[in-house]
Amino acid sequence: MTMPLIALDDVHLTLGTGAARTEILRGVSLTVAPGETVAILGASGSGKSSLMSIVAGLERATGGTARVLGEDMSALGEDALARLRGRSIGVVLQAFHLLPTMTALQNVMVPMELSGAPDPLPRARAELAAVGLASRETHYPTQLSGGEQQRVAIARATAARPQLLLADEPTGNLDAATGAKIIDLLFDRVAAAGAGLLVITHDPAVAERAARIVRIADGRIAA
Amino acid sequence: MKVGLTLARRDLGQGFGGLWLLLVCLTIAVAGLAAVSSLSSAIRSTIDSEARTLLGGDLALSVAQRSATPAERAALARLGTVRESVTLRSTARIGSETALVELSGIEQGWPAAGRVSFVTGTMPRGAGEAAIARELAERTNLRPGGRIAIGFTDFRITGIIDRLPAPSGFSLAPAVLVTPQGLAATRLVQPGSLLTAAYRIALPPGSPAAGQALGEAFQRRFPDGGWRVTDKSDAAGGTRRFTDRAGQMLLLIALGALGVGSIGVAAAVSAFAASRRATIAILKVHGARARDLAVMLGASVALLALVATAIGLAVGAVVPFIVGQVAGDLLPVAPDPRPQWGALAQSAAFGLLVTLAAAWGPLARAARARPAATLRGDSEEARLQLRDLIVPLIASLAVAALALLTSESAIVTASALGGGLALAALFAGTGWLLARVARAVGPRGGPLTRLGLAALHRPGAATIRLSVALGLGLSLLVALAGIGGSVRAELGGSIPAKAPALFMLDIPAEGEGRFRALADRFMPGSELRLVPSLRGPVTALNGRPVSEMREIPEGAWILRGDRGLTFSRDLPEGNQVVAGRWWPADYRGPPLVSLDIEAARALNLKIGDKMTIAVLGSPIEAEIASFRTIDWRSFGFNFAIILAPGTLETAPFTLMATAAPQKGAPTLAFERALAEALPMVSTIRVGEVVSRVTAILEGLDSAILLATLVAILIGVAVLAGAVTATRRTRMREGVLLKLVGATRGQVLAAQAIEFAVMSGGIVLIAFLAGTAAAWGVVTGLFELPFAPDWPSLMLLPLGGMIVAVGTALIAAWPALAVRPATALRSL
Repeated sequence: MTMPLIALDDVHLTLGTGAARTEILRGVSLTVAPGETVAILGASGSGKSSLMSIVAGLERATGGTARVLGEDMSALGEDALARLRGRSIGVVLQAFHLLPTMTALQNVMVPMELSGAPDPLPRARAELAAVGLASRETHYPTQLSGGEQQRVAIARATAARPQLLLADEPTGNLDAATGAKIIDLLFDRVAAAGAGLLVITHDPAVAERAARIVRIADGRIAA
Repeated sequence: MKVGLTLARRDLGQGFGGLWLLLVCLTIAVAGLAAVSSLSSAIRSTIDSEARTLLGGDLALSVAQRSATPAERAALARLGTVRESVTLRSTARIGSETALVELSGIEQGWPAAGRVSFVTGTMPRGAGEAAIARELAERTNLRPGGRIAIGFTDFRITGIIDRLPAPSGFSLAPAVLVTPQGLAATRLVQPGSLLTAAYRIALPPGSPAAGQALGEAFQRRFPDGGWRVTDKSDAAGGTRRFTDRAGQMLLLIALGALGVGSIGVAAAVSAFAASRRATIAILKVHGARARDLAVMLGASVALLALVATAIGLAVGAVVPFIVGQVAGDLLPVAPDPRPQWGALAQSAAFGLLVTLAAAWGPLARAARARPAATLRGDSEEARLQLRDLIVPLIASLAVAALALLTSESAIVTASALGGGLALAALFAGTGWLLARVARAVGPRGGPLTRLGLAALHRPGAATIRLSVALGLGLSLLVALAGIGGSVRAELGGSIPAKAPALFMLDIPAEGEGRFRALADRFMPGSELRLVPSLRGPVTALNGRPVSEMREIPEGAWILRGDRGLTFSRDLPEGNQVVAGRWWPADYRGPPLVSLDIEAARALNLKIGDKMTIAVLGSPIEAEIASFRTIDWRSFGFNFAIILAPGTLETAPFTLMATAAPQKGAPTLAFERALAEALPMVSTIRVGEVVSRVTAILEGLDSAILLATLVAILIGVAVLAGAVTATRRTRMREGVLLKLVGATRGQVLAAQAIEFAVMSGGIVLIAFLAGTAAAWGVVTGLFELPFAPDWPSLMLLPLGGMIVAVGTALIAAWPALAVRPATALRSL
């Protein structure tokens, strides 16, 4: 049997203490197979972004088991988690989050340079060309439109050929037309990389592009 | 205004934003200023309030090598109650030890005013009794009841002196007080002995004339007597001059520290204004005027500035008391422990004016910011307008004017202010260049280098500000270390290597044979040099009495009190005639004199001018035949005034000698034998003098170092503040890097590269600027070879860089340690 990309078993997440204690996730179980595309659909505050944070190793589950690419995420230290992301997990966020002091090309190169991957420059160039921004290599984030910034973010996430791509509301900051183009691009690049995809969204239209939709409400898988 | 204050009251609830940096910088800077100015003011205050006690009278008249004649004594007695002391230096013998002492024979009832304070015991009453200074008692373990031999007699100790009146405040050797009969018993008072007779006078209560005027009238009545006047206003003159000069130097460094602090104040106010950007925009949308918003922000700044100033002043106020408690014994006069209100007010004025100058621009720009830009999310600030500079300029000019008006020397202060500004400009240029180089080089490196270098030139980067803040203190530290190292090397190394081991005074002319015999016996092969020696003041120049000169020019020290005189056939070693001609070896004619060129320049003298010198009360008018340069570092006999043969030989003179024994040969046996055979001879160990001078210099060095550390401390605070101000950017970068796979080490490395490149550039320039300044001072002003302790000098910038990088990393750490998911929610 092939090892799943993501295997969450009864994952809980509780933040704050005392009166401020909030239960964000209340026993989430989820499996994503290699190459599978899954959308997590839910309203604001349902816990979907927190779920993605746990899968990305940005947050630690307070209960249950979270295994990603066969690794028990709660057993890994901060640096091991960072290395895992650099090597095998690409992340795209709603607010783009490009490094403002680097050009588009440098932003795409960074994960490969950090992990010591070979030939970061030609690979970054190729990836940037693949998202249609070959002419924008030397532009800084502030010189790019929102849609262009998100394309750079996608190129950054896919350039290192990750096994898993995580996208948190990738069209949340974009208009409908641009958002649609970005989603097309996201699924294209995931297919080209042969990676699995977990996309977090509140938009049913985006969710429908995925092979499987998982609904989340009030910190639990709804269906 | 009222609206602004109401807004300010409500705004205070939001906290003080980045104003903690203002509090830190201003508190340290004002504390440093207040401490330095309070301490020198407290010492001056003691001198002023206890002038009579310190001087031992309202007026002191002194004369060299003789006592007052009956006519003079009668004239003195008409001024008030007179008490005589006759002081000379001698070598005392305590068991098998010898020690140079300042021996005074004092009349009953001495001093005329004030009193001698004792650690234990009392004044000597009989001819065989003596009181000795605490320093001598501690060194030789002498106690009341012990014995000390001086000259041809010995004394029983009756008391250990704590403090006693001394006209100058500094003395070369510890004091020993005996009765006039005791002094006579030593048989040291001989014609030609280098003694000083001082007459302290307590004026009758309600005396109409001031001491100085009475003293000058006395001088005019006995114009050739060589009398020197010291009145209350010049009591402890040496201490006063030393305190004033050291105080001014420390004050200038403290002002430099305040200048560095002003960078922190400006940065803090900018950060504070940035934290209120949204509030300002919303208030503007609802009709607030720029002026009301400026008052709102200014009120918080003013409140914190007042708190910082108050804390700084409180520290400064207690410094005289603490120094008095901790180091009172080391100072010639104990500082007045009360708060020095004038000095504190001056420090407060400096602190508040500098705050006004630094805070005005950021406040004016923040209050003018366009609300639309802020609400759109733009972080750009309003442009600086020319009118924003008017108030800072006026405040800065007021600071400069205050510094100049309260300084001892306007030229020194003006040069220091100018030098400080030039240095600030140099480091601003360094910061600008670093940012430009970082921009040019940035794209070529790896991701960590790129990130590190980008931080140096991105909008809002504090590179220029930090360069000035860190560079000023560090270059000052390097300069001081370079100067101190060179001076210490000169004192500790080169001088003793070529200087004689012993310096001997008051050798009777007829005792020369015995002296040489003793030296041959106990220090065979030693190099001896003997020259005739007398003392006397210069009383007139070209017929114009010195006592009538209003001001004695700087550098004309030969007019101050008694000077050492000699006569010589040949030009002494280490001297060079630069004007006029040295007299022929067989010269026999009217009196001729050769002068030190520096003193001659200060007095604007030329060859052929006339100089009158009083020798044992008799005026000798000599024509100036030549000017000489003197190598004062030679540690030999360096007389500023040398007369031609044929003038002084008939006066009773003594000999001075230097002895340079063969390398490593002991001198103790010779000293003991000399003290037995010729007890009137004072023997000075050159090594001890060097140690004393070194100790004074090191004390001053430590004080200056402390003041410099204040500047550096503020620089470090500014650095920490700048790093903290960019916390959000650093946190964002750190999290994004972690998101794409960077380890904590890699994130930290990017920061370290930023700080290392920045501080590396700054310390390099600081090292070069500081070393160049030290070289200039050492070779130009002190005329010494530039020989700093290179390893320690080079460690300073290295240490500075480690401190800077360490501080910055510590300040950046909280932003880097934040959990990615937490940070992403807030970004």
